[in-house]
Amino acid sequence: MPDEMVSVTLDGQVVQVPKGTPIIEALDQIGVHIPRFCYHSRMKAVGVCRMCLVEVSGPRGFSIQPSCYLAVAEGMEVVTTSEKVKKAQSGVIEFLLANHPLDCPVCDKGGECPLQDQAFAHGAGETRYVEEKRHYAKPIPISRLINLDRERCIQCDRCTRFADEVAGEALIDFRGRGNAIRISTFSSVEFDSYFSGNVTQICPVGALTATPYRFKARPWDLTQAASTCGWCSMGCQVSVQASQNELTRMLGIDSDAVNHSWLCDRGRFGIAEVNNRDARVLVPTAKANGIRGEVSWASAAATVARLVKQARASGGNASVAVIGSGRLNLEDSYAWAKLALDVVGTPLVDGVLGQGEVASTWFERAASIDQALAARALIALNVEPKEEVPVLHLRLREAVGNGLHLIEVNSTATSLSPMAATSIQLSPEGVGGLAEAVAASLPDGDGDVVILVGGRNRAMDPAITGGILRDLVAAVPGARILSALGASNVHGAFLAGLAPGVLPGAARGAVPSTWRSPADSGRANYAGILRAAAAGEVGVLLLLDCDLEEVGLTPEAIEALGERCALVSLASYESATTRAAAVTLPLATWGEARGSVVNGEGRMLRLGEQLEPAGLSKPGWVAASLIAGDLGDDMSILTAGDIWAELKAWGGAFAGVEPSIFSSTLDGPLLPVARWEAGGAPRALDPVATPGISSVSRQGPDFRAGAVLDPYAVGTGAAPSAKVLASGREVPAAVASERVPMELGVPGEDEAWLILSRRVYEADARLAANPALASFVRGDRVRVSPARLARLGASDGDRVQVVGPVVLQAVAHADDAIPDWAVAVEGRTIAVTHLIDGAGWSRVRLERLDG
Amino acid sequence: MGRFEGELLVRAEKVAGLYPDPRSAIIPLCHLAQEQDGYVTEEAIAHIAELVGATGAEVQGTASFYDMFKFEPVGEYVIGVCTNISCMLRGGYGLLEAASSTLGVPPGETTPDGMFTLEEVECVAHCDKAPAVQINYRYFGPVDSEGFAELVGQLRSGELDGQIPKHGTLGRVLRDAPPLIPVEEIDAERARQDGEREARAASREV
Repeated sequence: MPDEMVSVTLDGQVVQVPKGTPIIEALDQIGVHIPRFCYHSRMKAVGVCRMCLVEVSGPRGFSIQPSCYLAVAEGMEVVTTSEKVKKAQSGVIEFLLANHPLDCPVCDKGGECPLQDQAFAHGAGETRYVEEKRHYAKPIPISRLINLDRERCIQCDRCTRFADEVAGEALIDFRGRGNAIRISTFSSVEFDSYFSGNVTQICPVGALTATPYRFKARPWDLTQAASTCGWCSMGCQVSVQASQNELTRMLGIDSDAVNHSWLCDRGRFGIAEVNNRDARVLVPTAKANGIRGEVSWASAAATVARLVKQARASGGNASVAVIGSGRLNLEDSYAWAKLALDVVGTPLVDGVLGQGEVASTWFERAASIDQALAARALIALNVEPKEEVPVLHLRLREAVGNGLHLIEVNSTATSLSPMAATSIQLSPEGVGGLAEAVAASLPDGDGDVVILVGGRNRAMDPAITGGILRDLVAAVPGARILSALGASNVHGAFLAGLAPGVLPGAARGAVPSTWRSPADSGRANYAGILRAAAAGEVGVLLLLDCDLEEVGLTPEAIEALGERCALVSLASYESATTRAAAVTLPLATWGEARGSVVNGEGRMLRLGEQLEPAGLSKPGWVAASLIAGDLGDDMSILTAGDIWAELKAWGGAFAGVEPSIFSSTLDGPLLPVARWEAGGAPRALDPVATPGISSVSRQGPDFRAGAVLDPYAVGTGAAPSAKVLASGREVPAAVASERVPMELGVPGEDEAWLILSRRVYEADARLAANPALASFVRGDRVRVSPARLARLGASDGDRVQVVGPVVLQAVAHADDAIPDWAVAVEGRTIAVTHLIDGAGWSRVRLERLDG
Repeated sequence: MGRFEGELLVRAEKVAGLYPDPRSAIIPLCHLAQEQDGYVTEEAIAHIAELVGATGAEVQGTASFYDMFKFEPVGEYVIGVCTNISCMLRGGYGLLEAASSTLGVPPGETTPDGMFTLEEVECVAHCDKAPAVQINYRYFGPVDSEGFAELVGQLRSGELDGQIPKHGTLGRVLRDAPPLIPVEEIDAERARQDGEREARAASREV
């Protein structure tokens, strides 16, 4: 829809604005801020609060109209400063305050409250009411995270619109009518949504408050930093706010490119685990005679260096191996890649948990989120955004509502299925011919096709997804890829060289002088490394923020692995892995170290720092540097700035990346910087849209929250003109392609293929450390087709066991949506057979439990 | 109780199928629930939500807008005594007091035997027969204290059964298919009128 411009007169200024713009936004654009409560630029206007009344010319002269609900029209005149307007706005404030309690001194919103601020600006100052105000029981916990204070509510419809329109989970709604109207859940149905925290962020009064933040702080006592949420690879832009060396809350920043100000609860309330010192690794520890004891950093680093030297002496470089979870930030990943590939020289480096093949296809074709959502068709391959990258689910819902053609390729129905135009089943028989079937279902027309790829089924080797992805790219020429791989910085780990077969920057040119001769990690795979370690072929296994329980090992298996080789765990949280490790190094976690990450669209984003690292924690690159020093090579990394300089020297994805790139912008650049297109005009900050951010910024320097400036547009330097990936050393097209078992075997009579998917709240060490969210952990859920259940002689609700390398006992649910060849398990990762036999897709047996 | 059962379930499913968007059936279904149980139970709301593809909060939000949907048990007869201007001038408050003492409960409450719920209501548009009383939304008036007691007696004895159904009972006309809308006829007529209008406009220009 090309923007047709209309000419309007706003307070005497004649301006051109796109047709269809609400008057309130046209006024924002010329710097006239109209008071508002219900209007939120990310949701439909409803015009219920009546605060934004202005005078608008019409066929019968000027009349008072809500400026959020009326679009500009050619020749329209708008007056915002007349006595009539002032009286109208003041009158609305008086009405809103008629029943609003005067408990601002104890209200969490006090100091950042749009009602408070706008009452000061537009209200009468004194009340004419002497009557008793309306009373309700309060606070009402509408979920375990959200409290509702009905007396403070001004019925602006923001939270209910969010729940219905944005999240699609209308679990709260208005109830009653007139003076008795109030927000309500239904009966005992909790407001149980992954996105519930957003309603506290957009509430313009103190009616909805988040339990973890209640009475924790006053907004003027908070400091804040712009950062990137560390839970998944969406890269939501956040303001992380702290007080007295404790993270107090996190608010979403309205980033046009990424999260539109929304966050999921896992990310928003993830700060509670950072604060939980009891669950953190606070000091380096080392095992002596099987007993874990505290040691100094110097001694711990020396021990690691000694273990590495011993292993190399007895088994060569390949007896040292590195597995990372993809959660280390970019700087840490780079330092560890350099330590592993160059200083130690081991080829066994997999910092992306087997996702290397997906990642290697991804980067050259990376699509931005905006491009993916504006594509002719979006193919969702093995991905469940709601459980893996929740905020992308919100963006997708919006895009599908605007006409995005979605093709889903999953093994079972997901939250995408109701939105998808076509659903194609990803089954073990069909892996080979899948790409053709998908390509055949594409709608005609011009425009890009984008593939959204994830790692939903964890019982399926990521290499299979990678293989399908390669086939798809071949079958749909020009297709681009948006990755939704789970961990926060998988993509950064890939670009930092901490993934199989890549060097920093995914560069193919000459190795810079700061490196000697890096080992070729092309064959590394975490499953292979774990098999080798279990077989005693690995002397030292370095685990970078990686709890082996999360990849499918049981605590006993980790314990046993610790007997076969020396485990070195760099970790922030205590887990079965840190307990089994010979040496544990405390890692500064999210909010404790500056740095950067790369999200699934290849956007480089900043990490802010608000805390002193807990205990003796250190950033990961410092640990790498210390160990390297003890190995006789300090890597010349003394500051994080050295890492940036080296990354720039590597070029490739990092060509043209300067440390100043974050200083003038909120959104980071898409890598390589050449890909990054100049955005539109920066949007004005709406202080009422996310009150917390604007309020805290008033106390300190300009934070630019919400004003999503495109750094390129404001001139941080010219983008490099070179096609950074076009020349030089070739990355193998398929990193481990001959290993990919695209033809899968036939399962035995009583066997089934496992579909293992994780949910947002899954029992891992980090979630267990989170007092705000731990109660959301659900039990494992096993679903099978009714026919399979009947063959087993069991019925819906019977207890069964899923037998793989370990046994999972749970209640079985019959579900028509599950194909007959499968057993679908939602839950914590159980040990999967493909890790052990390399078969590509795990098979399990289902057994009935008696009694 | 609660969820739709038996014949009512059949009717509920029919009602939900009447509309292009099943959510349009929320209000008719709430009436049906009220017919079944005398009030709209939480179970019924949950069931309606399932039938129309909405959430319980949405159904509750919609239904709670309307005073004639009850969310707590009410008597078999809901008696409304009007105290708005016309009725007030003609002794509405006195009548309400008398009603209250006749039934033994204050306005807003239900008699212990579950027969009557007394309500004070605003104008029910029966001003010409003030003071007016509504029993399950059937009009009576003018009513005085003795008349009210007599009415209650008749209700207890079942004399008025034919005239006043139990609370929640819907009208006698039940639709089970959408009304036929002669779309083609309407379109043809509209086209004819448009044509005429254009012809007139053209003739004016000439």
